[in-house]
Amino acid sequence: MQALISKYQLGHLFSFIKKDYLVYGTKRDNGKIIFDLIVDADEVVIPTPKTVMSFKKILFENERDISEDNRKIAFFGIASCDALAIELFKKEFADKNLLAKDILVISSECQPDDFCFCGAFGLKKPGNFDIHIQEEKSGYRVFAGSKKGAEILKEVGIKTASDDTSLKDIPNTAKTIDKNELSETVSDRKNNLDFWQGIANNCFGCGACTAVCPLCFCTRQDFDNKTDGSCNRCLSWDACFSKSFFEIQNHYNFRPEPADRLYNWYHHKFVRSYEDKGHFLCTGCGRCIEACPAHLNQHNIISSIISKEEKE
Amino acid sequence: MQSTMEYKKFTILEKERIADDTFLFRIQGNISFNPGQFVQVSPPHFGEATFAICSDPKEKDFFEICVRGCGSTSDALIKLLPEDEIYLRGPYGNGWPVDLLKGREIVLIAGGMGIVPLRPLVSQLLNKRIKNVSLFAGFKTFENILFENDLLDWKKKIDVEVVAEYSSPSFWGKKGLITDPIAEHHFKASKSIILICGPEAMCPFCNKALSKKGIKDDQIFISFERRMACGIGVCQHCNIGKYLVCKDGPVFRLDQIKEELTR
Repeated sequence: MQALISKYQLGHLFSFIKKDYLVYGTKRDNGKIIFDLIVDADEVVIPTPKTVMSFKKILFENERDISEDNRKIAFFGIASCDALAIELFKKEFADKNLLAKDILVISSECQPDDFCFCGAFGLKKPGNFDIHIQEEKSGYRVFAGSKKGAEILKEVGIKTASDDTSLKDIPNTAKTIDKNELSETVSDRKNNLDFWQGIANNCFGCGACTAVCPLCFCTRQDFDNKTDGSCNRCLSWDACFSKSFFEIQNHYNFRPEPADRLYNWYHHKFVRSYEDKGHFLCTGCGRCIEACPAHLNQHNIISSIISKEEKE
Repeated sequence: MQSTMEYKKFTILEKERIADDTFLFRIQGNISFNPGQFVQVSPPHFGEATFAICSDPKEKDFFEICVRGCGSTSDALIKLLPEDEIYLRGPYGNGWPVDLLKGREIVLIAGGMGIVPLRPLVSQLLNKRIKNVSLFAGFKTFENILFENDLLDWKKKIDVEVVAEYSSPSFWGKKGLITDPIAEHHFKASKSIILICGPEAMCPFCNKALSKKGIKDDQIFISFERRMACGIGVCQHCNIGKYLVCKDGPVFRLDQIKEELTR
């Protein structure tokens, strides 16, 4: 289902969604590209470049309280990798009553940078959207990906057609990685001790990757005491790279070495979630590569552990 | 198992000091739980920690938790007094495999605080008049034996061996390590089922002693302790390889968890 619309009509669609939803998306702010609340359709950037922080800071914000989330959130103009990440986020948090129940995903054509590697996981066409917006020479082509999206387009009066052959491929050339092979290789720590130690030797353990990753949701509980005697219990983002993450009473630590904790990050992303829920907790957005102060390249790490295994 | 993080408010009925820094709190109210399940306990406005419920599951008016002060939260907890409020959520986790115990020779191995989650199970087994039970409890010092009265009481009904690493002639139990009673016990090989709870460092020694006695890994169940922040499988603090202790545990069969412990 698709239709070609002008920039004016796109503004119309935006206003319609804004009536019901809090709209967040990628926008320019003083020359910087940030992910934040959007008040005007002119602010939306299409094709969408990557922001440092993803939708995570809105959907599962730091220091959120544990009550139910009744917001209606629309993400307007996000890349396809993030649309997929939202889908996985919802799967991970199913039945937990911690995420907003009404989430509208309006993805847009992305603007890949040097760090993107979504192709490695076989992400070829945009998906997991309610509405998808693609830039054409004479306007925007709009696709509906769900019933909810189709209804909104219908109400706004945007024509929908019934083929999606004109849906552009995601321009990423990363070599596809076999998911089963990667999962099996990562799960075998014993035979790759030197490999993980080698990476850990270069890792600062700062946790920057966990902060920017759209699919890192490890939390700790904090207690925020107020002067009026009330206390707010909240979930704060936590980094599994920090030493205290696995520490229990008497400072006994279950993952004392940086290599243990680094391995755990990869194990969670590529083994634990894959065996438990059938997906990797990584979409290849490349934010972790960009954020790493030690210049570790997570894409190269997962590619090289497989090629290392093949060589042996 | 619950999947929410909602707290309930409870009132402390009694507080009893059972060792140097260890207190038993009796709390008013009813929590329906299986032996071996745990709750997240929070003193008002301050932190949260994981404790196993240690009272008889058939008691409907109160339940008990045992707290050793060895961290910021537990230190705050042991300062609470009767009539103070306490916040609790849970129970979480799977608990001991009670269904598998029928007709088996049950051997319970507890190290130090490990006696705590085993206490409701012993009560339950005694309520059901199951006699084919042996309990081996090991402690560091003879002065700090937890639930001494219970142990003496149980000794009249089932086989109870208590060992302390630092003993005295006046001690009613034996001097030694937890592996000693294992070495002396006559196991009924394939009929035995072993439930272990104790410090993680103790488990490999017990497993070794048990395998010498011909016990296989699939007969051994271990209750694990990990740091927990959510209890519902979100926060990822408590993982052992691909398992989460809060969601899949805390009790695991040894052959299922053995590989994961190396990760």
